[in-house]
Amino acid sequence: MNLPGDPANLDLHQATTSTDLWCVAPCLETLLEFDPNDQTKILPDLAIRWDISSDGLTYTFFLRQGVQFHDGSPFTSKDVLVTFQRIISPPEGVNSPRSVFFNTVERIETPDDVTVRFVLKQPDPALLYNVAIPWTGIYPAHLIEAGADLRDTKNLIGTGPFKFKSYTPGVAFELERNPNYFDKDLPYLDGIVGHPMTDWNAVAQAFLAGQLHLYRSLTTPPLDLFQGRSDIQVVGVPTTLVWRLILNARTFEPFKDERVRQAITLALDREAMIAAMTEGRSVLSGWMHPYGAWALPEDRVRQARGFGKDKEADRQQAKQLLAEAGFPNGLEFELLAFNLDVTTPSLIADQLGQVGIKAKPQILQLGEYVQRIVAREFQMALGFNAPWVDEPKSTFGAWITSNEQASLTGLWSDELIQLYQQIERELDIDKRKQLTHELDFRTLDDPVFGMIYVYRPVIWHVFRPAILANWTPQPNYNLTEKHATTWLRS
Amino acid sequence: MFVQYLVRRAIGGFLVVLIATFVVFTFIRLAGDPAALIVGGTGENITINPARVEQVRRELGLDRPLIIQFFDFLGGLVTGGLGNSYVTGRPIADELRVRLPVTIEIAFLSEFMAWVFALPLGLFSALRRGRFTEGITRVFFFIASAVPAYWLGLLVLIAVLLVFGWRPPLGLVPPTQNLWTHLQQIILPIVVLGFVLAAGLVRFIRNAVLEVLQEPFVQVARAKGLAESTVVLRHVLRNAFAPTIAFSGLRVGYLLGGVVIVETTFNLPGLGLFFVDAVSRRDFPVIQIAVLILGSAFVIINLLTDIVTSFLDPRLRERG
Repeated sequence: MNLPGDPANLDLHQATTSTDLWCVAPCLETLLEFDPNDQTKILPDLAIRWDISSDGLTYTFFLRQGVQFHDGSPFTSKDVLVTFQRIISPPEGVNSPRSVFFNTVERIETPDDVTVRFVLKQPDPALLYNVAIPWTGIYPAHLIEAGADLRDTKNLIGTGPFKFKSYTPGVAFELERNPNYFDKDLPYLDGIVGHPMTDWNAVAQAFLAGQLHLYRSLTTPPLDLFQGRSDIQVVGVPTTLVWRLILNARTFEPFKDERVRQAITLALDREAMIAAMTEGRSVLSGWMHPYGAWALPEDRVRQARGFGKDKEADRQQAKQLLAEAGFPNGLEFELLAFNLDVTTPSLIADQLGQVGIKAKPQILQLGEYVQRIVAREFQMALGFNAPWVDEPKSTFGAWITSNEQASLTGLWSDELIQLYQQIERELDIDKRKQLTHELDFRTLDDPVFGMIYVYRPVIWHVFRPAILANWTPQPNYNLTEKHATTWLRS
Repeated sequence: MFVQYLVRRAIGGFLVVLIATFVVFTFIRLAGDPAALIVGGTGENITINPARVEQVRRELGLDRPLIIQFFDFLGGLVTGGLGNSYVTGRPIADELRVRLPVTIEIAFLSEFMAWVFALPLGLFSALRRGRFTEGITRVFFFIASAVPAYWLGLLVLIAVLLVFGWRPPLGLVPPTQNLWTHLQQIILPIVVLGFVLAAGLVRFIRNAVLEVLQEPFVQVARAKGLAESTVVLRHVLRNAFAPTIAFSGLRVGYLLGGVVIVETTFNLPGLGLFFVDAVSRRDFPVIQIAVLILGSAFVIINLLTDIVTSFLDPRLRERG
């Protein structure tokens, strides 16, 4: 398969890119996992079953026995404890971007070798999701305690179905079958080879030549090359990522006015963008994934301001709102974006221009872009909302905050924060779903947090169904990357 | 005299590299913060915590005064440590060991290919002046100079794939391991880059040869009754070579740029991608080494060019 580049950080707890995950995930396992053929389901992995206390404050996981790490050491509850301690409170020099997932964990107990207990400060139904995402993979305790550099390939040791074989920068990252995997029948593949390739045309050609079995990208593949090839399937699945606009009211006063924010969301034509940018493969949705368990139904999405069918009426209303807010001649600001996608910012600028808002796109290298965002030196920025998993805490947690330092926009609503906090703790699934719908709708309809939903890009999958077996394209390309049950038909 | 001149050039070159390194060292620090990227991740996963960014900056030593960081870097070089990448934590020296030979090989063979294309064509068009030959060189020149290497590379790859159903095996196998596979992987990129590089060379060779042909000593040689082939090979070519080689030397930057491009198109694990990645990830130590290596390559090759041309043309040596 292709990798979008060379892996940057092979320490799964620190890593943030798909490339890193695709390289490492087949080697490491988690307490629970998502079903590779249906990401809405959670399955047992290193924990064979789990118990949740009635108050929702204690999660007990019963571990699989007889599991070995690649280096031969046995897997016990201590490995789980030490791994999560590292994720929650990383030692000096280790950056753990997902520590916030476990901010409700008070302590972790290991009553015996095969039991792990998470004791929480407050109910947190997201916990089951967060111990199932591959980024919380379990390393052997002895490596972590010895302070080993887990970015080093020699420390790429887990209990997973594949183990590290070799890495030649720029050429290939190779994994081989783990003969001591706990399930003797798995994995089916003898190995996995990832080729770092940055030129999409080269990737497409390598696929055509049969050098790749699987080709994935966020960039639209050269579809004409695959036309008329009935053996090749090209699938575009809406991702869990969402393009969003971030309005910084700290540096641009007019964004404090709700009428200005509403005018912007009214001016955006999401369906036009879906047609232009995803070949029509994406769908109109709310912040939660349209095929997931928390999806806001489409008819509800369409009721949100700016999401209806009649764009002309929306534009008229936008102009009127701007006039009421004191900007009858429109307004002007800078639209910051990074160089992954240069078309989306110009589409946005064009659509805003139709109601008299002049957004001047400024496309930066990623490094510079991130620095400007961190320093809050922007007026409007285009970026992703990128939940690690399709779950409300992951989707909203990063930006629904009244913490002045954490807020990107300097805008918030106490009422909606309360609603969010209720979702965080709610144990009843139906109630939680209903509250999530409410939050999703209200943040689409009126961007009080200064976050405006733009559209959901697609992740393209190109493969030959007659060869690549027991593998289905999924929306989240960072969730089910273990490939234990995939095989190749010769 | 000449040795003195070379020493002077060498010292000058060293200073150029040092200054270039310092300029890049300063400027990349103005254009994006690696700590922010390390904490924030990629564009997909920007989760931003200013306090954490500050901490990483401290850990990387980026909070110290610029001049101290620079001397630290130079100190590392003198003691032989190239440092580790900020992003991967891997030693830069390890990456260079694998990647540098690839880039040198592609650069060298592509330049060689350029000469293979350009020498006969340039010579031919200078000696047989006339509409037809002029037309051929002109067409060649326009195509080769108008076509970007990446586009030509893609075109060649697609053509070969669609016509022969063949594509070079992915990556690059070392020649010591399997020479045949290695040749398959290397042939298309060097032909493509050679072709593109040949554009300027053809014109230069043609003009140089034409110029030499008008020199009195050529007339003398002919008047002596030497065979035309002897006149061309011994007298004309040799004198036309010196400026052409000097011209090639000056084009090193262009050559290296082309190498980076074909490395990307043909997916070869050379320095090109490594350095480009480093720039977008704000991996300062790698970028600094990159400038150092490319700058040194430029200076060294120009120095070598000087030496070679002076051997071809003793007058240059005399002038010193």
